[in-house]
Amino acid sequence: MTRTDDTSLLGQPFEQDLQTREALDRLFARFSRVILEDFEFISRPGERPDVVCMVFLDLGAGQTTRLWRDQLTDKLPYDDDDTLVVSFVFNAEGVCHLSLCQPLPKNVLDLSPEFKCHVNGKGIPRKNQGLIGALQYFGLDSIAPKRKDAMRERIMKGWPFTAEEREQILDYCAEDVEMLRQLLLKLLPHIDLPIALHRGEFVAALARSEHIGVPIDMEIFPQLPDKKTWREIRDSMVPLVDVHGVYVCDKLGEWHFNSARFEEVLAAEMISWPRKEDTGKLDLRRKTFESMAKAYPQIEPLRQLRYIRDKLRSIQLSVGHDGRNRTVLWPFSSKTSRTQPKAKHWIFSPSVWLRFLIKPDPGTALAYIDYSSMEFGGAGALSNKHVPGSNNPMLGLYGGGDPYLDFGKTIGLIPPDATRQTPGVEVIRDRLKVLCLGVQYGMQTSTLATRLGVSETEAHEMLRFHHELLSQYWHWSEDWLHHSLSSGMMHTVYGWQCATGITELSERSIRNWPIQSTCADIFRLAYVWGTRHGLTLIAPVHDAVLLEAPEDRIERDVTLMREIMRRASRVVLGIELRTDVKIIRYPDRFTDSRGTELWDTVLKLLAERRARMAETVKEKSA
Amino acid sequence: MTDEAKKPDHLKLVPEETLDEEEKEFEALRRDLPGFKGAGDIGMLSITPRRQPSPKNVFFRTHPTFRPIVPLVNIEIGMDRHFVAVMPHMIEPLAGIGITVTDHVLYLIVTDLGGVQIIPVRGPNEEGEQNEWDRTKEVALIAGTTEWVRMYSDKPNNAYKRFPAPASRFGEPKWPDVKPARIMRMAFRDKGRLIDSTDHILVQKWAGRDKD
Repeated sequence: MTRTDDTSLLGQPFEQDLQTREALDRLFARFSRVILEDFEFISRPGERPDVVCMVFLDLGAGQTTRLWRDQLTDKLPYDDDDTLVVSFVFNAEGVCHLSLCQPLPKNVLDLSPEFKCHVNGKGIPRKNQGLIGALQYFGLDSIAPKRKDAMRERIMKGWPFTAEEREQILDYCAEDVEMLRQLLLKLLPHIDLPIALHRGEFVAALARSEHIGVPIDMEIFPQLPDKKTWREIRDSMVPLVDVHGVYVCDKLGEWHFNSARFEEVLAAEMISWPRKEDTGKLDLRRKTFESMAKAYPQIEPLRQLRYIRDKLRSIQLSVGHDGRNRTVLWPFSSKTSRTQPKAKHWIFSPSVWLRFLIKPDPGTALAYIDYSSMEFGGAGALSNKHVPGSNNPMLGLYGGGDPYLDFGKTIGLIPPDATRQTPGVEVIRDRLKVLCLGVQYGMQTSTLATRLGVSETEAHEMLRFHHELLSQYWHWSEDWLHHSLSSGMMHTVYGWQCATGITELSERSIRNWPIQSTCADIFRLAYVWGTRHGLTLIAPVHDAVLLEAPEDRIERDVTLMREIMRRASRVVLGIELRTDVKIIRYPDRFTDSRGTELWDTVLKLLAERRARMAETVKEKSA
Repeated sequence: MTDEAKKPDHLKLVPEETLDEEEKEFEALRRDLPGFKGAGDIGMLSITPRRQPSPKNVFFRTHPTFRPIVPLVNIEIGMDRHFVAVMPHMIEPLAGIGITVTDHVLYLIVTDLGGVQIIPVRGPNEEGEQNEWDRTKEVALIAGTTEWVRMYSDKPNNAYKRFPAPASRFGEPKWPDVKPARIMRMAFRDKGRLIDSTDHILVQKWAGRDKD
């Protein structure tokens, strides 16, 4: 071999092959078998998947197995001992296993979060982060999207399938497995296996949650999806909820949000609302409404009404025949790795009043366990290690029990002996919460003044207090910003990463990322840990979990989950975060003070409608 | 409802030892090992030498004992001026290519916002004369060892003036728990601002030997 040949062997393709081979060697050193699997199934809103077929490839043996539905049993079709199961979006495969009454594989490597982590912040649109998009990213051929859509469409039409269709579907499923194999070889050198297995375990835990679903009150829910009923309720609730008369009815009976009237309400309530810089008109975006409603709770019903009018034209909550809300939970969807189910199908959507539909089955109870002030505590812990040996006042405030109340006392806005029950204190505390969380991510004086309804000078002074009192946090945040921009990458302790400088350029977003992503790390850890101990976790809700248990076991399960959540925060942050819990026993239902007014209105309108209909039937029969 | 105070008749189904073991397993997954630092232990304390405390008019305290004298070059790099430290054996070679190195006293300050900075002050020349800006800067920095002060430039008099903070406005300063050698390293060597050989990129540039 000549010297030139030697050099060509060291070229990039060979280097890449070498890395892949080394990674494969490491994989097979850890597992005796690597299985790549894919299911085809029929999915209907709220129902468990109706499995059509499954194809799996034994990577070591190079053998592909194709199984039609009638060949699948309640046992895994491969030996699961010492086996790694590779998939793309494993929650889909997981619910298929569970709907066949099969156990979930013990070791899961889901390539979807691995790919998302690899390209996070690199400007790859979310729609291109599927299997085909991932293959294209690595310059690999894939099945034509049109063919994929056509096959999916045929499968969704459902049974029966002809013999020819059966073969086509199995071929299509096998093609997916082959694409999975190609992607695995490309991604493998970039994968940190222990972390990837942890992520896989989380996705499997979510598959369990998807399989079980959230119990829904089936006495009330079936009345809502009917388009006529819902349209009537949507229209009838306007004059009941909109006490200020912001909505105006046109000649056709349609209600419209009237900005001029809203402006009058704002003036009467002395609320300084954000305006668009270019036109000077009121900024009526959904996010602005959400943020302002936190500072001014009196506009919360109007915010929810607006959401219902604009976004909730029909109730599309996915509820199965067994009265369970099920939808794909989409783990690792956000750049901070949070889970993001589709709002319109998911019970924990921005329409808070819908959550009142959650009702435990007879003999069972639900518990909503929530990390309290997680982002504040998380920020305190992250900045605590920045200056070793110092006492971070942020942790001092968190340790006091109510950081926002204590912050108000420290800066003199709240009397030292006041509690949340002291008249007038709750409003100030809520505004200080807006301040603490907002400025943590770089909220500026003018925005803060608007959010808090104070002058810019006062807001400036409050910001100044925040910077002085929590200077350690600011020092850390500043360094994080510069370090992230100069290194081009952000990491969490559990390996989630995001590139900076491509799409991630916003200061606020970069400051926010470590806190949100670290909170997501903690949450994932607690979810996995709780599932390992057989707790029935049925829904991840941002920083909270919804747990289901028989009524006589709920206290015990809650105790265990809270202990796990406490320990999970200790593992990730080095400090213990507190949790709050709300237990709901049958026949009670889930409640949330933000949605009470709307829920009561909906119930009232439904009752009136039922009474009207009963009267009509009576008249007709008479 | 907060509960941490009352320890429940604990987790009868799962012994604490099991949870302890699992906690260790999860801890082992942390990726804040050297070379893969995570958010918690990123340890990115950065110290920058500056002409005066930054931002302007910020209140600061000066470290009472940190006071090394270091030969520095104050030079324009790109659009900014930077302080570059010079190892003693490099002073002469630099003088040979027309680069003057001057001894500076380094003061370590912490601002009320928690920023840690190094403020170099040029010492007097051989005749014992010191620039008025430097002399007044040093006076303000020394005042900062006992109280919170801010300094501002009094241009008509070509001098800095100092202004003490109202008593008890700020607490005691918090100093980073880092050894002086590490401070020097972070401020100069880690930033590529320590000239220790003729191979240094700045020396190459000044000597006209850089490729550009």
